[in-house]
Amino acid sequence: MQVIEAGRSQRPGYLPSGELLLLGLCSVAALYLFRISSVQYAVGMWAECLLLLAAPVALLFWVAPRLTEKGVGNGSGAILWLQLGAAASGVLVLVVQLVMLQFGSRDAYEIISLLMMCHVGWYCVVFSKFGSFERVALVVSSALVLFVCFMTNRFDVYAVSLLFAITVLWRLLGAYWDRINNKSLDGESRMLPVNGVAIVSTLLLAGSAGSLVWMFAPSGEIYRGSGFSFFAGGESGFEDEFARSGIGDGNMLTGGANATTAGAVDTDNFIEDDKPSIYDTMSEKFEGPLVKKKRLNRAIALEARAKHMHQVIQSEQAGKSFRTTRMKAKETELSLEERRTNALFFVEGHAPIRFGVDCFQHFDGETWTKTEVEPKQLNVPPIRVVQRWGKPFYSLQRVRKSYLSSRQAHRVKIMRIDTRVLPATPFLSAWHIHRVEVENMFDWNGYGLVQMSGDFIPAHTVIDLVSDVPNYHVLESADTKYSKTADPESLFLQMPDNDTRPCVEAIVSRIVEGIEPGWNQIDAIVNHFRENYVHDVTLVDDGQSDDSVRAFLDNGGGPSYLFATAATQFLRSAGYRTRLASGYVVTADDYDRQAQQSIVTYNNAHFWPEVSLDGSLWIPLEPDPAFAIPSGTQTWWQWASGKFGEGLLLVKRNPVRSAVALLSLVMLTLFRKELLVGIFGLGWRVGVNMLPGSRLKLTRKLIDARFRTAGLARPSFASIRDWFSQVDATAGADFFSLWWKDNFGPANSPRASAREVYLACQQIESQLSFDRIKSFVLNNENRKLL
Amino acid sequence: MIQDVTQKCQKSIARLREQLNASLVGKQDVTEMVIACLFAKGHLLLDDLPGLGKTTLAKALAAAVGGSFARVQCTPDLLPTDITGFNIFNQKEQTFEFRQGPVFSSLLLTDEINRATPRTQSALFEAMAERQVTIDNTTMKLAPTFMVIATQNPVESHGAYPLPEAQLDRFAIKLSIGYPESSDEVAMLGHFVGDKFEKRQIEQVLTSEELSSIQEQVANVEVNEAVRKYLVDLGAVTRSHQSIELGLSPRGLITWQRVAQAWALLQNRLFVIPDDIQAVALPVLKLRIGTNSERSEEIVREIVQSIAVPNETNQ
Repeated sequence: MQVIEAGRSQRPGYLPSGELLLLGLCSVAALYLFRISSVQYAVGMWAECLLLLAAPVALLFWVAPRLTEKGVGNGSGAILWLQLGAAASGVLVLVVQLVMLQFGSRDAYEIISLLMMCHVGWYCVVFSKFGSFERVALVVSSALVLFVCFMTNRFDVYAVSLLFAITVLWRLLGAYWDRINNKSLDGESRMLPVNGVAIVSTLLLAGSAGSLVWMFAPSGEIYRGSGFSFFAGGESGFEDEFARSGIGDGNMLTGGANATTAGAVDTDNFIEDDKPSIYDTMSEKFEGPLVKKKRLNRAIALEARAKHMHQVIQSEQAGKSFRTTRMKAKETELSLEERRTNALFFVEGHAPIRFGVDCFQHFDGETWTKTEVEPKQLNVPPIRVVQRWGKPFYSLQRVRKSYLSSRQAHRVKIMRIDTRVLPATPFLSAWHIHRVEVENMFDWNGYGLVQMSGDFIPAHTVIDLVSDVPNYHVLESADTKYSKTADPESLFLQMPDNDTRPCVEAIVSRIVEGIEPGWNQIDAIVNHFRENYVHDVTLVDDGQSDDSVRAFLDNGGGPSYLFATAATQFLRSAGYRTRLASGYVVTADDYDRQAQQSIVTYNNAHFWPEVSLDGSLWIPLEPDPAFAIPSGTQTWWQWASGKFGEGLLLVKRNPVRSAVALLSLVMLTLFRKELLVGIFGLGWRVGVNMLPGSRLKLTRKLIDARFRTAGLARPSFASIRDWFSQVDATAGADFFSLWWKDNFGPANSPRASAREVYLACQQIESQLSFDRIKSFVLNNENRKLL
Repeated sequence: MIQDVTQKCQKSIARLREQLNASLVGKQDVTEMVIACLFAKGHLLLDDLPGLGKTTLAKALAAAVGGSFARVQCTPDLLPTDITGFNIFNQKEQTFEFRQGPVFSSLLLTDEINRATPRTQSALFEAMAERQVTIDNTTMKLAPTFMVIATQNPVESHGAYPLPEAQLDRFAIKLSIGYPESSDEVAMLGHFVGDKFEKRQIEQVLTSEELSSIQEQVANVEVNEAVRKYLVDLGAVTRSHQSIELGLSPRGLITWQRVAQAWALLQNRLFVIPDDIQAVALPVLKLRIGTNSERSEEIVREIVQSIAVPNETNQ
């Protein structure tokens, strides 16, 4: 262990350097600013931060003087203890989380992992004058800051990261300056130390702490921390306003370019085809191959029920209302004719996405009723035909909102959706139908939806939809604060005046307590449903009570329309303009990889609440945990995790091939060095026999490659004899003689025979085998660690 | 092993090694370098603390290679003529007679050379560089195998005159003997029980003719163009190195090559390889880079590490 002397100053030698402290603090600040998006009690978070920062500092002042007095240059025992301390600082984070859990608060697992990494890094910063902690601190801090930068779009995190980057640059320049001043060539290995004991101890400590968390955590509840992983509950706060919904699927697709995309986008697979697709005449469920359709978390479990619901919506008579009560009808066996699958429309573009076709405003406790609203109250923008990329587009001339950060495009082909309402993606801003540019072709209906003139949109109509993508982080910020006092008599704030209302109001006030009015309250209410109620299509209100919301709350869950109904009431109770939207939700499961498009059938029918902050734009919400939260602008992480998900799906569909590939990959990773050496050896054998004139050179290259593969690459200034003789001082004497004579001897000196050269090469090849070099390297490293 | 060097020559070299190693216990690397310096017709500067065997080594070398040996203990009042000799008027003969100084020997040991005045130190310039002295316009040749072994004590700086760069450049190598290992010291103390060691006679193992022949053979050791280029590149690095005020002179390069040639011969080779250049780099450069000894080792390492070994890399 080395303790750097303080030099001329009176500063103790064990204190970390100022620049490293700054780097450490920057990385901590970046992480905590990143974390603040998902933390409810910021004061508590900063208190926890201070505690965790102070702990290693206190330990330093207690331990370091004692170590210095005892002469810390002796042995690695002290270093081992300090490494255990680093592990303990990570475990301390878990302990703090355990304490927080008792107060009902906790971070997502991935945030906890980052916190552990952050505080181990900080510990290494504090103890940077000991052992190799400085290098570890630099690596950990840099990794953390880089990761956080990828995951966020917060300006303050970027500012801190910039400071970090400048400091690192300054440090690198300093190191480079030292190097060109010839001060840093101390000949020491720059590799990170690996201490098996420390790693095992860390794992044991982390395991123990994890067990404690498991033992003391309240049982029976699933914590859905708001993290960033694809399996975490929340996705808020990590959106990148400049990211796209897919790769090149937006404007390029709309512009007619032959775009490729990560989502379900293809070129003219179905656009040119006016015949019904295979899904219209035959599905794999009934008459096709007997492949069981994957029905993960499907909201509408039964096709018949879904069909029934939409028949209710679409019928002229029931089109004005929607009952939330259902009879528990006995499932009847449907005839083959009735089982005919109906593709309503096809979709190209990023999934998940929802298409709204209807909405309801008034609720009496049992039935939703559509109520026409005055055009002035609707506050809808005018529809104009504009030319974009040489094509006519119907465009909504609305003022752009700050939270609409990017755009995405979808293309739908209408098959048999019997409605004149345009299936609209959220935040629809423009749409295009080939060769259609009549001004009054589209208009707003009385419910605030775009509709086409005529009875219904003709089958095989292809519509390009361009919509804005919200950035939920902007919504969370202070810019979009919502004033609850606006328009208290609005139709969209109407609630049935029944017994449930006080109960709803009480729950809502408890949920929004301490949260500033605005998107964060809405988010809290939606999360309340997602976290506390279960999706269950059998928990329908059978009409026993006249209050569906009460039934839903009592049952602890239900199908999506009850989720939507209850959430609407909750939001209205909190003072937010809300309506019940119905339509179709397209998930990744609906994507047909073969056809490269998503097929929308009655099974995709779905209900969701929509909230409006300004009375004109409706933001879709998803209180049903069985459905994904409406996606906002993607971060790189979301894009990457999406890709990861696709990969998992691929693996699931090809288990044998994946297992073989994985096994090969593992073997390749484990035995990569042996494989490389084997290839080198094979190349050498071929070369030595085929090219007798290059035997010496080939052998030198082979041994060099072995050293390089074993992690002991020969620097250019070292001669082969110096380097190779480290392993065995007597090895290859004949080879060296021949090599020197060949390369440096007099030109007229007699040449060695080919046989002599061959034998010398074979001798050194066998004497300096890869295993021997590797064991030498390992022994050497072990000696250094000791 | 290639048997290029004559057996007789190798036998003599082996015996010389044996003699020197017997006198200076546990310092094989130092004696090897001294032999290389001798064969390279170079002069040797021993820079070390008192009592580490500088004089013993010089005396043993003188006895082993034969020829005359002279010793000068340098002090501030030592005059140039005390080294070179002088003309004295013989009243009886009424002529000037030349009295030879200690420089007219095969091996001259100048103890604590840095205590002599610069004027006296410079009296050795011509002798060391050209192996001749000029007194009163008369030039006299010295022995062809003439060698100066100078010692200096690095710790006593009061009343000392550091050797000027010009003089330092005339030495081939600078060596520090250093303390022996404890096991070697135990063996050494054993030698000094009784008077056997003091009374022992160091056997002459080389005649002047043999030494001249070996020195001639050293001069003929092959230095490949790639190696010469390597040497020149290293020399260039010394000239651009920030920590070195005065880089290697062409004379220094020639000396380095010659010592490397001698080193190659000692390794039973008739051509120089880059390893030889590196092996003698420290004693050759230590003289010429003008920094303190702790730093000089580091600088020499940096210099060697800055140039790729010729013909042994993939470039």
